[in-house]
Amino acid sequence: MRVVIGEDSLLLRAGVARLLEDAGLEVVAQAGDAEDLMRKVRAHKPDVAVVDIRMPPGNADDGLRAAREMRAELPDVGVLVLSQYAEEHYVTQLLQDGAEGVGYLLKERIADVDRFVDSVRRVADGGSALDPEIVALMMGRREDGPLEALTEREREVLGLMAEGRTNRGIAGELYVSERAVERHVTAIFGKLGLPTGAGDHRRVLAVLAYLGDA
Amino acid sequence: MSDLKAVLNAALDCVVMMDHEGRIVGINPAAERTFAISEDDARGREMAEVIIPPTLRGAHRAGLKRLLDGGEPHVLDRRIEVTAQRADGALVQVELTITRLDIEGPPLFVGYLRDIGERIEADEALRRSRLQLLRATDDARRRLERDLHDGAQQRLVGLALTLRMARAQLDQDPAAAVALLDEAQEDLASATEELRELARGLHPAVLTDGGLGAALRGLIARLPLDVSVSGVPPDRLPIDVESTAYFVVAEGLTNVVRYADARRAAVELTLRDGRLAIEVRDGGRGGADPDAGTGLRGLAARVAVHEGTLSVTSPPGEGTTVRVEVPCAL
Repeated sequence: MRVVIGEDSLLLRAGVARLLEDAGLEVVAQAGDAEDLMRKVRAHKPDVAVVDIRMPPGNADDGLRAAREMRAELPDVGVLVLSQYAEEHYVTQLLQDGAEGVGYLLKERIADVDRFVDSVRRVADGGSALDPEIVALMMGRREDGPLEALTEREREVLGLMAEGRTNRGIAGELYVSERAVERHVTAIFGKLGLPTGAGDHRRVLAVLAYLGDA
Repeated sequence: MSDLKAVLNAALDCVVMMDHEGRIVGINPAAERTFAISEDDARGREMAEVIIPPTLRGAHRAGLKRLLDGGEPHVLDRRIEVTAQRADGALVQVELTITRLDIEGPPLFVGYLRDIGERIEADEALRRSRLQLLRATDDARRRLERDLHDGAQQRLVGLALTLRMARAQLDQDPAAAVALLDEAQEDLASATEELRELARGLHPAVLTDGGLGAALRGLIARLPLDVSVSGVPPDRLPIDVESTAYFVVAEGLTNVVRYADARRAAVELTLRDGRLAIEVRDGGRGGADPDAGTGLRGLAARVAVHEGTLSVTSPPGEGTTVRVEVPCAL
């Protein structure tokens, strides 16, 4: 699995590169600003680019803009955006053209190495990875509505689905069988009136569309 | 002569004409307004009695006498600031120039006066608003210091201790060391989260990147409150106006959470005629004192810099409305 890293802090860049390499991924290039990042992503066409949202030259959301450019230009390259902030605005922008091969995580999640590497792999494989805090914000906004009809466990499952986790991932996280997760998913989609039967990627999008639509 | 009359009538400054005996010969409409007296009522009366405060009349009369006796004029053809008096007794600060008309016969004096009360008041208001801003900045710094001290800083000190303890346990009791390291990791996560929220409170990056609507959405998602937002302008506004609007809403909603005992609030923005109105309403307990908190004072200072207005309506039991209007050139 080939990775390009875009991060202006040398320390973080080296740290992320090292922990990804330790996990068996191949870091083919690193960039310290958005323009250099675009060049290297175009040249290497990696499986995934890990991108800091705040980068030179503008030191605003240059990384996010680069990420969107990649999505439009190189749809096969997964993009995992790292941000200092849990803001729906950035996530909404990022997900505008679908949730396949996209991720948005708070920077501090790097510290949980196993989960971070898992997120990188998921995004590289065309899945998604959304920070739990973003999901919590989105779910919090809909608390009074139909989410009240969900059981505590169903809400947990919904949150993990929104994070982009697969049934197997959710089962592992909650210490239940995959079969049990499937039952919960069916119940949730029924209660919220969402179309069932979609694959993992489409399902994330349905859930996010539902949560974001408030 | 009618041309001269027209000029006098249109003049923004007050013009008062006085004869050698100190009697008023005529005044223009500006003077009528400033001194609250009609020309008919003023004509023929001693000027000292009409527009000079009692305490200064003696000096005025002495000066006029000295002038007529051929003495050196003190006030002629110079610009001076003096206190004058209106017909209703109120005092006005005026800027005054007196000239002597070059005509035959007994001398005629013309006084040009300008009411500078408003200017003085404006200067004073400006000084007050600067001071307010300075205080608000200091308040904000103090709050920030306290938040850092009570929050992240404490956690980091605790973290240092936990790590030291973990190191000490490493040889004898590795299991205990692992537990301590886990604890350290949690502390570190909490400190990171607190710093993140603190940074957001100082100035949310999303406000710069995504504008007012995006920033308000992020703000509201974090509050334990059901907030409806309407009227967010579709286009970006000047960055300082966006910031002010954001902080008005943030402060207003924070106060709703803290004091209003309400579950819902409404935020309404209206952009019209080059002004942005920001209103934060709740249906809570009301009775808010706008002078009580540093937050609202800080907002008032901020709004004053924009030459905007801030009002707080908060009758007990009927909720609170904070309304701010600031000029917003597009």
